[in-house]
Amino acid sequence: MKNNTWLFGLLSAVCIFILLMPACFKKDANAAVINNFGDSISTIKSLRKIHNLGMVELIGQPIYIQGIVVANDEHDNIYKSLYIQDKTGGIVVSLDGQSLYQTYPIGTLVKIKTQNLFLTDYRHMIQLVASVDSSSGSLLTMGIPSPLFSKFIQVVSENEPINPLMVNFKNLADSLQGRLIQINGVEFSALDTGQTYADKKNKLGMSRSIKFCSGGTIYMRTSGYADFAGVKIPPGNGIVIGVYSVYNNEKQIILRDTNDILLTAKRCTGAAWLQNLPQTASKSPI
Amino acid sequence: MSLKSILFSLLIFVVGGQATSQIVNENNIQLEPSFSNNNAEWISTLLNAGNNGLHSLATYNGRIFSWNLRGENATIKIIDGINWHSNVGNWSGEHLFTGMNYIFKTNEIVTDYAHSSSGYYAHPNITFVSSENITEKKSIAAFGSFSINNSSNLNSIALRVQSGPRPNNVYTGLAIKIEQAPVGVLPNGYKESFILSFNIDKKWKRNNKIGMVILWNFSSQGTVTTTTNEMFSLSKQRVYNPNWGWYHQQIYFPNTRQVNVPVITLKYQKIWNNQQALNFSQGIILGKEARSNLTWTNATDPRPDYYKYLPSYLADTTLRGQLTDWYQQHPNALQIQFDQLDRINNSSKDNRSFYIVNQENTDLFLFHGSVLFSHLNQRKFDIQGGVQYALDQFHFYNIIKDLLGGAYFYNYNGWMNDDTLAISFQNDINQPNKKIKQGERWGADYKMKSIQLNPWLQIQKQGPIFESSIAFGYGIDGMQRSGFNQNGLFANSKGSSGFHYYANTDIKAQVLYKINGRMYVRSIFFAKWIAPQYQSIFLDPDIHSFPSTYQFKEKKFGIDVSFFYRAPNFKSSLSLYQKYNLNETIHKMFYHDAYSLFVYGEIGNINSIQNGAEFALETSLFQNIKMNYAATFSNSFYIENPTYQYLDVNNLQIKEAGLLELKNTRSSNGPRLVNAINFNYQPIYDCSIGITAVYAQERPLSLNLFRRSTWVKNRLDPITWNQIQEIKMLDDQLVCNAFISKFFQWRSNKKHDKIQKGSLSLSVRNIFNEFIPILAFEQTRFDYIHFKSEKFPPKYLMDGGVSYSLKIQLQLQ
Repeated sequence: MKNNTWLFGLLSAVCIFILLMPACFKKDANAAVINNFGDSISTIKSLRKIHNLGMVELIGQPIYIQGIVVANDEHDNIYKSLYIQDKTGGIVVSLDGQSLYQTYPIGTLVKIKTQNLFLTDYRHMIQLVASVDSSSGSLLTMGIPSPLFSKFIQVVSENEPINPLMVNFKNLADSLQGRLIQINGVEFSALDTGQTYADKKNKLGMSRSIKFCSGGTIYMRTSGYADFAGVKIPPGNGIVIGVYSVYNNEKQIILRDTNDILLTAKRCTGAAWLQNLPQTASKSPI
Repeated sequence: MSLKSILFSLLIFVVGGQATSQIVNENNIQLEPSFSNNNAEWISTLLNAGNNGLHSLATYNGRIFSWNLRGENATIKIIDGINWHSNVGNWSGEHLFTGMNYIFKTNEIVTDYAHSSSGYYAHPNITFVSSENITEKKSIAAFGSFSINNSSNLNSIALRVQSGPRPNNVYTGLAIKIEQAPVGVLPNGYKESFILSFNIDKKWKRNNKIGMVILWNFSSQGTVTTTTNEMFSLSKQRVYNPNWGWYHQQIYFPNTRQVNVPVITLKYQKIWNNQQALNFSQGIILGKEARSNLTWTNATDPRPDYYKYLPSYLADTTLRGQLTDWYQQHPNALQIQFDQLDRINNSSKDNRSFYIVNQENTDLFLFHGSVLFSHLNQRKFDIQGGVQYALDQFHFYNIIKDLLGGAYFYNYNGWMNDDTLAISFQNDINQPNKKIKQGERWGADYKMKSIQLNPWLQIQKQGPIFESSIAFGYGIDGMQRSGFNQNGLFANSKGSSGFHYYANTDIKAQVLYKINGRMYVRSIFFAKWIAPQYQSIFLDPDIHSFPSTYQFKEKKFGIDVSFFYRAPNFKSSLSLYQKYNLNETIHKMFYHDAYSLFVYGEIGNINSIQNGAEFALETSLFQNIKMNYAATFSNSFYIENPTYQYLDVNNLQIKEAGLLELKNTRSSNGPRLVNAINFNYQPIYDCSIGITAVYAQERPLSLNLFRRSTWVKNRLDPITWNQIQEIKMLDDQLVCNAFISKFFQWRSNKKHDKIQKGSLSLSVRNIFNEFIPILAFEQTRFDYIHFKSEKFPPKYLMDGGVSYSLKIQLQLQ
């Protein structure tokens, strides 16, 4: 019986091998089609770890990352860059092109060959760029040139589902950079409510403060070129979805479009908000 | 099987026509040889010691050199007494007759405002041709040619049948010509044309004739565009054309041109007693022309030679090297990526197309005619008078030819600045946000009407020592725009504008003094006041009816003195000329980087002077070698600093105005010095061998005048300013052509003594495969922020290089 079991096991293994072999061949064939895009994929988190703030790292190794596009330039709030994320983290990829959303719509799973690209940070926001120039005294970066998109970026699939990561104020950390987040129980400060997201007329970007009812502030940064820059900020309380970003030590959220603003509940400011203020604040003299 | 294919199969001999670069210059009427002149078409019939020695060379080699002698406009062709040139868009009907020269005969070539006995036209270079149907014998002639050059080949076959005299002195003729350049990797893609001509003439009494010609041109061809030197280097092709790409594994040409235009001409001639004649010509054109091109909105520029896609745009040398390597390894990246455009259109919301192939249609109606009365009395005066008239209507509209994988295209104006008003970018506010499907109209939709009436009179007196002539012309030009849809920017985009009328006046005089039997001196004076052209009357008829700021009458006047020496075996001429061109204007719409918007750029009061000298001689070196030599020197420059202004296309507000620093700057893009020589060796009567060489020196790029403004000067250090102002010269150019032709004839029927004729010619053009720009110009777009000239470098269209052409002609009687 033991022998039969062993023989059965061996035969099963052979059958499985035979069954899987074409799949292996197929995979190889696909690998050839994708034009030197390797199969060994690193996580975005491990890629980010290579970078030291304030430094520039040239990626010499054939490192590939794979992530879903969570934000792009469709509404002109983001300029010449894509935000991609995997399960471990997110990152900004700088591309020297416009209307990127047409080639890389939200939900597109892309594989990026990072070899010969650079890791830098802009005000602590880590980004992947194609070239750096410090000859002028300040660090100038350039995205991947348009004709080279297909050299560095491969579209793997489209319409991948994206679920924003629900976070509260205390969880906001640099590890969330470039990720799509959802913050609940928030509202725009009373001063910003009723204002527009940015100065559309003069094409000036603006930061609007979003207050957590539980305490804490995150800033919504909107470009003056965004097509919703002239839209008025809703007064209610609720949910905001966006890409997490930093500007030095300031925590920011970048809106993809106004559908990500779900502020329909009553505001929590006033007594309710004051009760939720941190202890130090509540003890401070009025 | 199409009619074209059947005819191709039936006619045995292989044919041809022009080489690639000839296809490019489609507006040039191809000067096919008449049967009696069986040289290759570009071999000049040089000189005959004419006053303008290089004229033939420049004309016949014009497909290589784009410049014109004396900086003048190209030759106009008067076909059966009708000038088909229209004021609307500078449209010229000459291209409709392309390749059909064998049904016409050239009556007279007039250069440099010289006196013309065929009628008076205030134009420097005119060729008069007429349909030639009345032949004594019934005949069938077949023409065929095959030409090949570095990148392409073109075949053509033609058949001409003439009835000879029929009962009641009626003559009829039928001609067909088919041309085909197969689809391939060639500069302009492809060419297919089918031209049919039928004419009928009746002669009665002595020289009274009435006739009708119907000519139908049906053609389709790809078009080529200019590009930068960098693209020629990257592609390693002198005939590189950025206008095509791969789509679904097939070559796709978005830029094409289609012609489907019948022309009907009626002629009437009455001659009294050999001294007085009346010629009446009336022509009608009723047809359609179309041009297609790739168009996009709210999307990245799909042109492979867009400056941001080129290695030169990258400051980082490593990245530049990577991009250069990428292009070397992926040459198809240097063409339009249609599959990518299709994917973008396909994957957008609701399948909205961001990229389309647009077709600009023009429905044509032209009614042109002329009346010429001649009273020739050489003892006293030859008097001629007449009138030319024209009534034109051009209906311009766009349709979507190909949605490139998408489902619809928004009827939006793509170049206006986003002012947050949703209405501003609507092409039709009565149907806002209209989703246009394939084959539907969108964008501009308007008619332009033009009328011209030009009566004239000329008198000539010929004597034993003096010959003199004087001519006057006075005419009215009118122009009107009628829009059919109202866009979101301008209320007057819909409805009719008033008629804008302008007067034309011209006068010229010529005196010829015969010093003796061999030496002559001729002097020509001319002056013209020309009504503003279409572009000068309306600022942008596509969008609105607002008139241009500079609606100036152009003035031209000058004098030309020539010396002729004519001996039996030696003829020569020397011409000196000086011409003033005053009040010329330039109008262009372009993207202005400093203002980040499209502007209408206008220049007015452009005044220039042209001075020059030309020398020509013709002699026989030996008994059967004839040599022609010609040289020209010209010096053209602006005599004042003209004014300019930029208007915001969104609201026509002046963004900038000032002076252009052009005084003493070269005003012509022709070479300063040209030498040309031709040897024609005729060892026996029916065989000839020829070689022609043209050497051009100091040919500048065509200048973009806008960048040479005081506004720019004031923002630059003197060194950078001088670099911008400096005129870039092209390399000196040498073009050498050769041909051999053999004429033969034989008796096909001894009983009826019928003689059949034929000829065979082989020609080689640009023997040394010289790298010659057909067009070379500075781009209108300029870096008005950092003033880097290399950001928008000059653009070129290169000659295809050495090309071979084999022609066969047979005539059966």
